[in-house]
Amino acid sequence: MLRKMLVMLLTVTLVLTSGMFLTAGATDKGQLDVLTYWTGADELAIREAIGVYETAHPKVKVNFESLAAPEYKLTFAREIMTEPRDLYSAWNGTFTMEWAAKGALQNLTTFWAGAGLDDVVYKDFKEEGWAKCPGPDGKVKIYWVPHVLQVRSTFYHKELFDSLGLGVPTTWDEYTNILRTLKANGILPIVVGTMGEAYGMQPLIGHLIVGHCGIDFAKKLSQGKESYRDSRVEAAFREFKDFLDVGYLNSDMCATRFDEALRKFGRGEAGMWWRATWGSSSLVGEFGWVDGVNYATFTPPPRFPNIPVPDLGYADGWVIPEGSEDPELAAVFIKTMVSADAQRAHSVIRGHGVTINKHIMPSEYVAANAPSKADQLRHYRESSIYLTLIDQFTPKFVDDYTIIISELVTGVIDVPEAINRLEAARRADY
Amino acid sequence: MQRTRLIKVLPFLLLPLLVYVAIEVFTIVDMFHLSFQEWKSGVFHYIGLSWYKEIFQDRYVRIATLNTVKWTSISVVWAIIVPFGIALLLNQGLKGENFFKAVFIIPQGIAYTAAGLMWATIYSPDVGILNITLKKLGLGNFARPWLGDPNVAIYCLIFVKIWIRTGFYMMVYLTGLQALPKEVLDAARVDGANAWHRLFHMIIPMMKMIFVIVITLDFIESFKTFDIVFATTRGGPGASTEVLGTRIYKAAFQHWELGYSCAIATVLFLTTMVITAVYLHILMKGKKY
Repeated sequence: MLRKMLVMLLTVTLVLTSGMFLTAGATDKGQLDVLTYWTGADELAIREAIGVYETAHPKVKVNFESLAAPEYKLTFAREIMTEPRDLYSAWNGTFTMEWAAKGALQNLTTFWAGAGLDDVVYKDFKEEGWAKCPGPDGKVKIYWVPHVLQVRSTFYHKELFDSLGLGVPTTWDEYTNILRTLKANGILPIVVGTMGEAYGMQPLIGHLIVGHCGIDFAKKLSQGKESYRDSRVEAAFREFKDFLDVGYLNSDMCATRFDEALRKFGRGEAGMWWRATWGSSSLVGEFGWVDGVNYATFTPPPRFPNIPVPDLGYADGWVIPEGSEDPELAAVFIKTMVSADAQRAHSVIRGHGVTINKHIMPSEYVAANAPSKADQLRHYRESSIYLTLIDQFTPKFVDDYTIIISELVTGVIDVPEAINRLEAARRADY
Repeated sequence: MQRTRLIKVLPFLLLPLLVYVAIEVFTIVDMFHLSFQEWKSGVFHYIGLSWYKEIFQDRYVRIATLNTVKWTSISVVWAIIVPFGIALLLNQGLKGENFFKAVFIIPQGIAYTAAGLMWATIYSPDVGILNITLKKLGLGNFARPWLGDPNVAIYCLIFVKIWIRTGFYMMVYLTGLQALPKEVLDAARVDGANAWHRLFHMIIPMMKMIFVIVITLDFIESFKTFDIVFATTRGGPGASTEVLGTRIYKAAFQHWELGYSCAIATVLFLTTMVITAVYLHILMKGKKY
C-alpha cells in the first residue's frame, strides 16, 4: 500500500514538474520587459506614455523598471551579455554606437521604414550619430529610435537679467556684453560643474567649435573624421580659454559638482548655467522655479554671422537587444511611444524633454506653461538643424577628452598641447 | 598525533574552504580567464595577450600606477608612525583616554564612499567648511579649489583614507602595547634604560608582528583604492587622482572592455601578491609564530 502511494506521489510530482517546464514559455506571451534610466519626475512621464500604449494594447502586460543612469549602465551591460530584456532605453551616439558595434543590438532599418517613422520623426534623428551607426560588420544601419530630445541650452536667471536690464542676446556682441555686465556687477557670468565629467563644459566648447568651424566640420570632428589640428579648432579652444582667463567661467569647475553649480545658479550667484533640457526639472525640484518667470533658456547667438547656429543636444531613445524574446512586440511598443499621443503625455503634459514628433507644435508647450521648451522647439523648426557632438565620441575618447580638457582648465597644459593630445587621442580611440 | 588532529579538524575546515574556493578562487580564475578574451556579437573571443600588451602602452594606466604607488607609500608610512604615536600616548593612562579613543575610532564606522562624499563637501571651494574657516581666520590666501587643483587633489583624498583608518590601526597598536610584558619593561627601567631605549630596543622589536600586520593590511588596502576616488573626483582633475581601481572600473563600465579591465585587475592582483609575499618572507625569515 505504502509502495503504491509512493509511486503515485512520484508520478504526480513528475507530471506537474514537466507541465511547469512545458508551459513556462506560454505564460510569457503578451508580456513586455522594459528597462529605462528615467527616474523621479521622468519616470512619471514615461509611465504616462506607457499608459497610452496599455490603453491601445490591453492584453499586453508591460513590466517596466527604472534605474538611475549609473546603475542602469551596469545592469544593461550585465543583461546584454547574459539574458537581455525585450527593450531598453538608450542614449543616442556613444552608448548605442558601442553596443551596436559589439553586435548586441537589432537592426531597426526595416522597422523604421515599415512604421513610417519618416512621417513622424524629424529628419535629423535618422542621421549618423542619432539612429544610424556602424554595426559589427562596419556597415551603417539604424539601431536606435528617438523618444525625447534633450537640447543643450543656456539656462539664464531671468529675475537677475531683468534686474540688470538684460535680455536674450541675438548677436555675439550682445552675448559678450551680457557676460561683461554680469561680471561688472560681481556676478559670475556662467557657472559649470564638471567634477568627474566633461559634459558640463562641452556645450560651450561645442558651440564655439560650430561657430568657428561650421556645422559639417563640427559633426565630422565629433565622429573622429576631422583633425583637431585645424586652425579653426585651435581658435575655438583659445576662445574657450579666454573665457576662463577673463573670468566669464568659474575656474574651479573641476572642483564643482553638477549639483553645486546648479545651486550656485539658483542662489543668484551666477547669471547663466549650461546644461540640457532635463536641467529644468532640477530647477523646479530644487528651487520651485517657474519656467519663464524665474528662469528661461536661449540658444547662444551665432559666433560669426555667416555660420548658422544649430540646436545642440542629444536624445533618449529605444534599442532592441539581439536576445529580445519578443522583438515584434517591442517594435509595436516603440511605434506607440513616438506617436503624438504618447509624446504629448510624456513631454508636454509631464514636462520631460522636447518632443521628437513633428506633429506637436510649440503652442502646445506654451499652453502647458513650458515657454522654454516652446522656444527650443520653435528655434529648431526655424533652423532645422539638430546637432549631436560630444555624444558621438567613442567611450575611450570621452575619457581622454575629459582628462585633457580638465588639464587645460586647471592650467596643467596650454591650448597647443591640448590640441596635440586631442589629436593623438582621436587617432587612437576612433 | 598531528595526523589524528588533522583528521579531527578537517570536517570543520571543509565548509569554509569550499565557500572560499567558490567565492574567491573561482572569481580570480574567472578574471584571469576573461583577461584573454573580448566580447563581441554575443560571445567572448580569445585574443591572446592583446590586452596585456595594451596595458604597457596605456598612458593612463602608467599614471594610475604612479598615483597608486604614491598613495600606498604615504598611507603606509603614516600607518606606521602616527597611529603608533597616538597609541603610545593613550597607553600612558592619561585622563580622557576613552574620549580620545572614541574620537579616533568613530571615522572607522563610516563607509569610504560616504566619507568621500562628506569630504567633497568639506573641500568644496564655495560652501566647504575648510575654505570658510581659512577665510575667517584671515588665511584666505590658502583657500583653494582643493579637489579641483591637480597639485593637491590626490593628497586631499589620501588624507580622507588615513582619517578613516588611523583609529583602527591605533587600536591594533594599543592592544599590542597593552599585551607587552610589564615586568620586562619595568626591569629595563630599573636597569637605567630611558624611554627612547625602551621604545626602540624593546617595545618596537616586541611589536614587530603587529607592525607586519598593519603594514600588510594597509598596503593591500591602499593598492586597491577605488571608493574614495570614484565618489569624489573620478580620477580628475585631469588624471591627477586616477588610481588603478578607477582605471579598472572605467575599462569595464565606461569603455565596455571587460577583458581589458580583467587584464589590469590581474596585473594588480599578481603585483600585490608578489610584493606581499616577498615582504612577508623577508620579515618572517627564520621565525615561527
